Amino acid sequence: MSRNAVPLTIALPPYHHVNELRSAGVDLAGVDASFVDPRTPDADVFELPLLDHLVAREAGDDRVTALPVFLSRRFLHSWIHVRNGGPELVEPDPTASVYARGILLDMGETADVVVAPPAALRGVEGVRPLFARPAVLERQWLAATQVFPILRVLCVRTELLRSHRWLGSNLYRAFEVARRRYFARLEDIRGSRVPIPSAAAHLHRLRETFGGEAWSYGVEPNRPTLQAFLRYAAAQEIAVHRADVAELFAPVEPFVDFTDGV
Amino acid sequence: MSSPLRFTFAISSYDHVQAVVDGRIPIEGAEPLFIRLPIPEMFRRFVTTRDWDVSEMSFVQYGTIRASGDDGIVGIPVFPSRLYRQTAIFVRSDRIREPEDLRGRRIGVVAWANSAAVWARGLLGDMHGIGPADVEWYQGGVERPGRPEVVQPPHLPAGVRIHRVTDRGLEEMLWSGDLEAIVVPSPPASVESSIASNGLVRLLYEDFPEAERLYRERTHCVPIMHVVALDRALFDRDPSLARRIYDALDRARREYFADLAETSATLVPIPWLDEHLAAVAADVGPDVWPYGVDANRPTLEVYLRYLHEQGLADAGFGTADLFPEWAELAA
Repeated sequence: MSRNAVPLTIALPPYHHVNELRSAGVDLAGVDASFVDPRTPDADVFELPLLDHLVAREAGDDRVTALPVFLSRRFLHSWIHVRNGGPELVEPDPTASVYARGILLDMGETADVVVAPPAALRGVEGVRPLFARPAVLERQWLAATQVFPILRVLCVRTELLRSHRWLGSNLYRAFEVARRRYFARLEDIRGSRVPIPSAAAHLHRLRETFGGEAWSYGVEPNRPTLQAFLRYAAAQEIAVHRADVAELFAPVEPFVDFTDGV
Repeated sequence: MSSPLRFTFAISSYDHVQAVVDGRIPIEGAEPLFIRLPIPEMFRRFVTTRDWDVSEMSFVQYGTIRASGDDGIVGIPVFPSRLYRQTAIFVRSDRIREPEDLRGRRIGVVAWANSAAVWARGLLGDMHGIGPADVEWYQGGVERPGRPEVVQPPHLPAGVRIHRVTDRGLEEMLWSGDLEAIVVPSPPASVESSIASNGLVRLLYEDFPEAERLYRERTHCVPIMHVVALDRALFDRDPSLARRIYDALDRARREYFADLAETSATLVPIPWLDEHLAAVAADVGPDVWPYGVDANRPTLEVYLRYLHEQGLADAGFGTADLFPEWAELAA
């Protein structure tokens, strides 16, 4: 690490796709990063639910700036449960709920639903999954819409970006390199870097399903997902529909892999 | 309280091991120094000169050494690396279209007792009826000539022919047409780029996900490549250390699966992984990556059958003989 590097605290859950950054295998150029407990208040770099970020922006709050780094995302058809007179249940992830209700709206489905991980609702009386084979629907939905729900966005305190105009792009680059190295490990046929039988085979199938990388950062490859979220939020009267999803993020230098560069 | 036991422990990089290497999960009463080097060098230096006290090593070498009566290395049933070796067989697409085309042809291997080679030969037998004697084998280095056999095959079956290559690399022989296929745990760059561009040299199983699935369905196993083992001298000094190393590595393994189950954030970013794991579990049992002897019995039985069929262990050598010290500790 260079002298006079900018000290930053980074508060994130132990994402495996950030491991290479956490272990300092990836250089965060110009930054002296310390990873702190994810619950640490006032960290310099942290995550917000996509919904919270959108709502803050709607309110004109720009103390925090998002980067197009998406660490948490998942398909949500399996999270949609119908409730037949069961208990009142708190939905754990409001961003996931917005996607799920948007999906139902698009399908013309009007059931009374509760949106939560299947494991959390198993055995709860009066509650059952809406879809019998959600993974099949999720694949069809991906093919039809190119949407892979983004649940959280990476955020930086805006004043830091103002003080160091290079910081946003350097952070983006470092997370991108860490992500690439992580996925290269999953597809490594020389050794099993994860305890998942046929991990490379599953990744190979994902590549076919997605027509390329499953899990990308950056606004452009994620435009259909972000646009769908804004449309759903507007339909649910959470936010007005914005002209361009790029407004939600700091502009960053696109990643170029200078493999042979010095 | 006695001072912690210091020893060296060589192991590669695995997400299900990292917490132990980081020290986040300690090995009780121990102060290990972790060493990571390229796998072939790490393994060879443990087997030949015991440069470290505890090491990840080739499971085929381990079984072969124990079957020969040598108990200088004490294994514990921890298996960091497991792979279907459908992805270790590379062929010239101008001569080999189907696996059956390999019958009577020339295949290069880095060593007869190489884990990838043993599992690949085993699957050729189980899935296509191609036995060890149905092929001409060439043993040598991939990129540089003259890689020696670390462990000699003691009971080669009748009819098996192994040609030792000392003047050229297997990679060069494949490209120049003196081999139809190579079985290597780590493909050289020319092979990797040929696969990526649909060139002359390709994977034998271009649809390897389906080939792996069919094999798993038939054998119910998740092939074991590597095992963790202790130098006998360290084991004798403190036999319970083996249990403590096992416990730490098993805890790291369980933490990995706990991360998979986390629902608040996607700690492991792999879509539809639960569906994939359920499909694997339907073939191999609910725990898809277990440590321990009993939980791995179907895989260990296939492994031992391959060692017998390929002349690396005699038929009397069974699962109970693989980890006898461990069985005593557990008793």
